[in-house]
Amino acid sequence: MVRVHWDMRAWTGWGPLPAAEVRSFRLLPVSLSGDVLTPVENWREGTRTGHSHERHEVTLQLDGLGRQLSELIMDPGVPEGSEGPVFVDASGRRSKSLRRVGWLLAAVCAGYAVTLVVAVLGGSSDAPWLPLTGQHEKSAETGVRPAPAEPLGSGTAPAAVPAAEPPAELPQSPVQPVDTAVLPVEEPEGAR
Amino acid sequence: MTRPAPRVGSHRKKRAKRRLPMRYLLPSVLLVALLAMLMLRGYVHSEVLADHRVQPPAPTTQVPANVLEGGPVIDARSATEPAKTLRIPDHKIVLTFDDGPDPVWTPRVLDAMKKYDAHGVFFVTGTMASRHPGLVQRMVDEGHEIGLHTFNHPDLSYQSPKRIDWELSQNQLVLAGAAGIRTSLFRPPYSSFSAAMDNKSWPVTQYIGSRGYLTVVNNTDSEDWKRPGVRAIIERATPEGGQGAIILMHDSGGDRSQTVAALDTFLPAMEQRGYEFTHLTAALGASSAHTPATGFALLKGKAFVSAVGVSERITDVLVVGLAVIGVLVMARFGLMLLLSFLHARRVRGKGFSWGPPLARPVSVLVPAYNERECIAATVRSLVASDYPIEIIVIDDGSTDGTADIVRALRLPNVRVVRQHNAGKPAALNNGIAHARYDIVVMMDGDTVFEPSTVRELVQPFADSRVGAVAGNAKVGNRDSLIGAWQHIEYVMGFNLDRRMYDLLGCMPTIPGAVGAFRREALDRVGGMSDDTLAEDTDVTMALHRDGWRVVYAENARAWTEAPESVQQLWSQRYRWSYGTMQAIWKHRRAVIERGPSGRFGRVGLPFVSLFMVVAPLLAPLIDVFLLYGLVFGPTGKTVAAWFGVLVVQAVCAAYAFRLDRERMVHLISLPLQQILYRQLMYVVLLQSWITALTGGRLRWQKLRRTGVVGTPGAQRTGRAAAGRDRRPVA
Repeated sequence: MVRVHWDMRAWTGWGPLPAAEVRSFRLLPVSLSGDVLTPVENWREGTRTGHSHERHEVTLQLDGLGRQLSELIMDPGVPEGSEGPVFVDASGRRSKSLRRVGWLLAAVCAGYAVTLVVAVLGGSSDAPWLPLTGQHEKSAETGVRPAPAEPLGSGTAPAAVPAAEPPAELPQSPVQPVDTAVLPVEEPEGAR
Repeated sequence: MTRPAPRVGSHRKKRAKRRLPMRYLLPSVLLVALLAMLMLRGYVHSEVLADHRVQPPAPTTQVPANVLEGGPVIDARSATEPAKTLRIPDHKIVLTFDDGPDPVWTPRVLDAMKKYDAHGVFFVTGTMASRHPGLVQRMVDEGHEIGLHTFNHPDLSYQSPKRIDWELSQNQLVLAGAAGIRTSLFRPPYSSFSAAMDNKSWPVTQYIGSRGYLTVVNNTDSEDWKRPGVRAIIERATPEGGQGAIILMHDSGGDRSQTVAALDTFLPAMEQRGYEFTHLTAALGASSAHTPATGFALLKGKAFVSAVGVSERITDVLVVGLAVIGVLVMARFGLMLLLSFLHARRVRGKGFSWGPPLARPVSVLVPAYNERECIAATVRSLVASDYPIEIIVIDDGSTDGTADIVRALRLPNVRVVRQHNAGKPAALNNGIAHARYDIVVMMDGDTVFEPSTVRELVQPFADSRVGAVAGNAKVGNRDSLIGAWQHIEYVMGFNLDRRMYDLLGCMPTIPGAVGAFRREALDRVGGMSDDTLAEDTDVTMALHRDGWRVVYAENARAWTEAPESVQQLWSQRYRWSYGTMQAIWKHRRAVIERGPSGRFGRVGLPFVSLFMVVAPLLAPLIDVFLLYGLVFGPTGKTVAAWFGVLVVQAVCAAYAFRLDRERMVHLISLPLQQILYRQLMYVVLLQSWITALTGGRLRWQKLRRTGVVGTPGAQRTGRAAAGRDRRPVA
């Protein structure tokens, strides 16, 4: 589809011709006020529907309104089947509700972006302290179990002993800060 | 009662300026969110910031001997004392799975562990955990332990402490979001035995320890990632002589079917031999390595994980959209090539003719508004036509003396009809009413015809089923860059399209610059309507619905001047895009009607909607994913794909140029057109959609009067023609 720009201007008026004259066209320009329409001399010849136009275009300047009025009263005035410009909602209701939706969407998106930025930046890389109460390797001996027979707290010893059968389940050892403090002290001597 | 429309319009324009331009703000915000989502997708799919280098082995001189000869759990947390190691007690096996969770294999691993009441440790990566938080929660629920394995699986010996911190914190963040816990266990990527610690990996372990983590390597490597076979995996995983072991396995990162199968045999076999499968802290006799995440950290974690979920789902939808547009684009190219070839062969075939050659005179309508510069050339070109015509110039209330210029030419069989400014549809209807003959040619006030144009244009009317004919509009000013782009567009996009639509019988629009209509057909559909801004599309669709054929006359060339500035081009395309959407919507009822209207509605209308509305709407996805692929993804493949599409387009364009016998030199600007011009059209289409949805009125649209027509002095156009194509108020 090729068109050079067509600068359409404000609407000035329209009026349907009487039904008898031009049946099918709903849209014809009609001058309203003070605008001179110079009929070209030769267009009258042979024109099929000429003279009705001519009457419109010339006499309207004088009593065009009157004539127009009477014609309009005869004619429904709104061309049948035409509901006006497509999509246009003169009341603005659709626009308002869509604006609200738009703000909501914008807020959601902004919230999303902020969430991401906050989450990705910062954050602690520390680990929660995990107390260990046993099973330190003292010597470099290979082999299974040199674990020293330290005075460990209750319930933590069994794993160190090369027991023939493993205990059914290892009880959770209560935190024994005292023991952990004890063990590391002994370690360095054995390790090196 | 009439209302002075332009005044309201100008008031509205002033008011509109103070409100936020939502039509630009919202799409921009949405675009930013979309980009953020894509970046997040790249981030959690390890396509961005991923480092796949692996450190070669290094000397071990700086690693303490007790670590090298010690157990697989390294405790380097103390700042004052040297590092210690721990061993797993005898008859206890700690199964560890790296790189999970995987949506396919991890559930199976978990099922196997559950079946044999075994527990283990899962060292999860942040990327996988963020995408499958449910699996992480399941791991915790079923009594397994979770350790960190960094976010992106880089070799930490290459990374700075800051990066290491970041990997750890992001991994913890994801864990907090997925299962509400923080953990104290860590396994470095690409780890092996304690004896494999070297001068590069030891400092990393020290640093990790200083953050409070236990570094857990392994002492039994099943090597399952090599997929050596189920029996080999079991063999390598079996600890020697009752010793405790930490076994390295993987539940992600490839096909882990062998791992799963091995578990089914390994677990009961070991349990029978007296081993117990526990998780690490249970084996060591310590309290759980998990700590509940609380407060802001928990909130952040959950927010991040859900953001990842949203991003995954939406980008999946976009990928589907990309596939759709890809198919559409290729289908369009294929159809265009095939159907234009068929069309050209048909109309150029020796035996082809529309019917007995037409010789009776026709009427040519030239609606003009302020075409002082071009109208003389236009009219003279018409007068030079080798076909009998009458020329009617309809002056739509010009203020620059267009009508006088024409009259001053004093050419025979040229008539001037003046009217009060009422718009192009009204002008055309006025012209039709004044026309003497039964075939009407419509053109624009600044289009120039060749002498043979009218003859070529009206020959198809020899076929009585033809109701309208589209001519071949050409861009005259094709030497500027923007002109060249439009030239390519007209030759390929419009004219090749027209051949295709001609064959399919659903030509959506006849160019306003060169088109011909049967007067009887126009009468039947009620002439030109101003319901839409694209009255040519509107009337063409109406003709289709009335059962007329609309064809393309390739030799009816008309020369038009394409907009030279971006502003004018934008304006023009905005009107076309919006007007086309209006026309489609106006004729939507054709989909359910019967007869020729139904045929057009069920075949032509969807076809046109698909290629003129849906495809351009999805086309931005191509650019979005192009950017994504260039930044994150397989760059080489992305570039290759883009070039592939460009080549296909160039082939189509070259074929179109050849059919039209145009010089190929203008095709040089085709690649640049793909980068700049198409994007302009996206914005235009987007704005049209917004205007259509919000129901705003464009500047060019008229108010419809419903009552008695105006008082004297009621509106002449108050707005001077300041600038030919200003931006519409919507």
